[in-house]
Amino acid sequence: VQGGRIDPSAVQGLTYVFVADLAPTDDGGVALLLHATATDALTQAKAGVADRPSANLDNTYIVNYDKDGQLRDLNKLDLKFVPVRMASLPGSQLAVSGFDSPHDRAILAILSTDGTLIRVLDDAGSLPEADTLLSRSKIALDQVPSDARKRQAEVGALSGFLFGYAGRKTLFLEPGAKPSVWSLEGTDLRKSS
Amino acid sequence: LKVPAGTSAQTIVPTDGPWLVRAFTSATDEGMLLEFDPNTGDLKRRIDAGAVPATSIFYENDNAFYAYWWDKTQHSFILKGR
Repeated sequence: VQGGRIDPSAVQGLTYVFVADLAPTDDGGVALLLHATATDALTQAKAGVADRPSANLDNTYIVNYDKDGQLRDLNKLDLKFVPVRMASLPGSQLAVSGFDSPHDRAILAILSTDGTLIRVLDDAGSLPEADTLLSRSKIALDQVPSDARKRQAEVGALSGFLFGYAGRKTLFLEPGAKPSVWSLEGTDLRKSS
Repeated sequence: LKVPAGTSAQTIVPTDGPWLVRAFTSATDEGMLLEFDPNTGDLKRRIDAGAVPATSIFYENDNAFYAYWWDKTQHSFILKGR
């Protein structure tokens, strides 16, 4: 973005926005947003859960901005997994990490910038499964054991994995004392030794 | 990646090719910038940024490093170095 200022927290019509990720594109920028609705807020307030509602993992958006930082389009995602992190790829595509609840594992997918799923990358099972993510989560499950809490913990652990760029390759880092890196070039996904 | 013992990898610095990772020692929280071999995951070198913390480097292109930091009057600046 040249000379403009992106403000993803101020998308008209969305309240309680959580910016999961931002990435530059050839002609502007793109954001991955999680969003809580007024209904979420009311429900959680009545339950005495929180003063501020947590983002609804089912309400996720891809937002595109032009080079001046002006909102170009807002696309509600309809994916079979919870998107967690995002990176831009050449050719107006996005790499998105996410948690696949039905199969209890992390996945990487390629989306178009309008949020359409192009393909899920097959990495021969090298990305972490749910049990691995739970072991790395800092959310105490024993306090509020529930499927929703478990999913929050798994997604939370996966949100610590970060994208980066090295030339034509997009990298996906599992941080920590024993870090792993997956490299993505085109549709070729490889785990580094 | 083969990080030094007692070190935790944190984030990737965008580059035109090299694999640069910000890392911190667990004991002292000292930050560092490490370059790794993309093929083997071996540590190639630890990058010294001189006057600014190596972790303030946010971008590398054509062997030039760009860092974001503050002077003594708290004015921010971008430093380019090789």
